[in-house]
Amino acid sequence: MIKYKEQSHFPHKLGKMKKRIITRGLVVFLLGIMVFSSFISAGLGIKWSQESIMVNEGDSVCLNSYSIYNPWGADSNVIIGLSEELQGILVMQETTTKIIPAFTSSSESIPMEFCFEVPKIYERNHAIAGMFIDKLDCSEEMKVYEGEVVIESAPISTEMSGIGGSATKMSVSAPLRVRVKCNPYSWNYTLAYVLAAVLSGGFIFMILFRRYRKPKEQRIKEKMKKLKAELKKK
Amino acid sequence: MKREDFLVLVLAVVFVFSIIMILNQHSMMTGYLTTGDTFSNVSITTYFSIAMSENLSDGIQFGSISSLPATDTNATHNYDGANTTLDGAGANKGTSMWMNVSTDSNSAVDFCINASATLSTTGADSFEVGNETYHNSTYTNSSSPNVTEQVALTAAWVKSGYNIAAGSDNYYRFWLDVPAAQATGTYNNTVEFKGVAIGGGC
Repeated sequence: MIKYKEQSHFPHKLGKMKKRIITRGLVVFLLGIMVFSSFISAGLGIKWSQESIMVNEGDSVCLNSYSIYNPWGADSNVIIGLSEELQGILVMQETTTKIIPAFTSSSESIPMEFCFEVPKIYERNHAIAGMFIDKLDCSEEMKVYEGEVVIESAPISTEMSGIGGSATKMSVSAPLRVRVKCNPYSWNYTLAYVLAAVLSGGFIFMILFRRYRKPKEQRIKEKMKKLKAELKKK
Repeated sequence: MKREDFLVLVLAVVFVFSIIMILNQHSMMTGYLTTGDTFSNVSITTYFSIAMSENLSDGIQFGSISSLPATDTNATHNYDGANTTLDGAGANKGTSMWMNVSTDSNSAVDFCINASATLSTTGADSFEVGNETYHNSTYTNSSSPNVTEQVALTAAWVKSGYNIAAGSDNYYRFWLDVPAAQATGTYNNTVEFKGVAIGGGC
């Protein structure tokens, strides 16, 4: 009997102790997280799966390989932009402000979309006819623009006293390389042909319009009148 | 045939020729592209996240200075943080200004720093940004980051922390030199911190 009692008590005590240790551990862990997170301000994160893109001149391109996240305990107000090096060619770039909710992990990152239009940057050979006839031989090296996608924390207004000091701001960035493809073509007379078509079409229209604007009877009468006048002369 | 009819005929020929050539030009351009380059992109997912300590996000403050010149004036949070290393009598004399890399990152981070402008008052008195200095370290105690290794802030981005692993911190201390003839006032500017993937440019 005694043996039985001892055996049944011991595992019970052990279980209680284990429970206590686990509970205490959990409390310490949660307190640790709370204390640590109270020392940390809102944060920001960036995720990307592609950092180079090949585009054609004049193309409109949208890029969505970059995303933002915030695994920290407070919402983050961020400004999304591109570095100066890219602003010259990425015409449609917009600076946007976004709020990233707290505890947004990297696996739940929010995609960002950059849409832009690439201007014509390669130098073309122009014929005597000037801007109407050109040629692109792609003798220049491929143009590559290297810059960054920048996620910046919105500035926090800080009250400074005494001698003052510095407000602080943080940002994260990821590289972005834009390669502009050069598509060569020989003398391009398209504009000259368009001009010739428009002019000749216009003249034909004018002549025919002038000829056929009056009713048929009137035209015949005028023709007869003319013939009579010619006969009289003879 | 009348002269006018002849003109219409010529113009019609020019018109038709132009249209044919416009269409032809496009097919010619496509035909011209006999060679091309193929580029390959490797798609690797990289992600990292950073945050500032509360005291750093509150700004780098230097309190009041009553006598000039002042050299190596400590920022108010230079020595009010917990140590990360044993430091004997100097316990709890670490800095409470740091940048942290989240554990939810798959890349170590390099930190960059710059000062956006000179320190200036609303009345346009100012002094050079280089009078504000800093030092950074991956650990903190009473002597780290160290005043003897201070670096002047610049308007350009410079690296101020290399290869900070996920879950780790980069600690900062700041100091300010105020010249003797500096006008009284509250001087402000903005110091920026940027996280880039390890090895990336600022």
